[in-house]
Amino acid sequence: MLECISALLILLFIYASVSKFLDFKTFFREMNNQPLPNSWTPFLVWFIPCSEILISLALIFERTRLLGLYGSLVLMGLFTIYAILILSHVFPYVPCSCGGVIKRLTWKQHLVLNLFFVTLSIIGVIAQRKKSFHPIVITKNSFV
Amino acid sequence: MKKFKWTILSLAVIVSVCGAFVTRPHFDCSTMTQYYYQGGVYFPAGEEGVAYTCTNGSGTCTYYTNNGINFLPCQGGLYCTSNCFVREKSQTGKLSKPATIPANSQQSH
Repeated sequence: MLECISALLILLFIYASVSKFLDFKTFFREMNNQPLPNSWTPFLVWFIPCSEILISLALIFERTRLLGLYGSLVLMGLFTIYAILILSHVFPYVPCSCGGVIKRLTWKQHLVLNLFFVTLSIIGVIAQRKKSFHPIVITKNSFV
Repeated sequence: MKKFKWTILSLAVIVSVCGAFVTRPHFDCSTMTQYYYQGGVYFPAGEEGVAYTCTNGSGTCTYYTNNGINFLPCQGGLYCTSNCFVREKSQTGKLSKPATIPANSQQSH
């Protein structure tokens, strides 16, 4: 199950990051279009896709999978909060939901997708923790 | 079992990279000069996110042209300068923000 969860998250993150790098100019413009200070754009255009790739790499290897799942939870959590703020009209305007096939989604659909991946990350963290911290059972035969 | 795990993860990486290449736009009109429409005339829109934004909504936000005569729709949404607020009704029917739409912002034609 953990591999399936990791595979789905990898699918999302690598697709999203490669799409951004393939059309970097558009991504930069779309970031400027978001209701965030434009001074954040040069930082965000590198930070978001690079963290997606790093999280994907962490999810591939067993040793770093828990870290990757936590990273995924944080990143997807932040995207979810942002989508909620957009839908709650906290910002002065609602930007176009841009960014591949995912850019065709509305903000509500984005929110549902994000919530699905947040849930997946939570299940993954719980499953990985259970797997990593199994109790050591000492029996009489252990010392033989 | 270990081979199966690696197959799933490798497949995820390959499919996502290929998917990103396949769905990459072959022609992106937004890389061309963008124009907005006002009173029957098309004006250069400036830099997106700096001079204007395309906010969520139905219609055409900006247009592009290949020959300076025919203008084709490019970005969807509402054309809005960066300091404007958009009148949007929430689902409850209340206005979410005060509406101060600038003179050069308008809906599509």
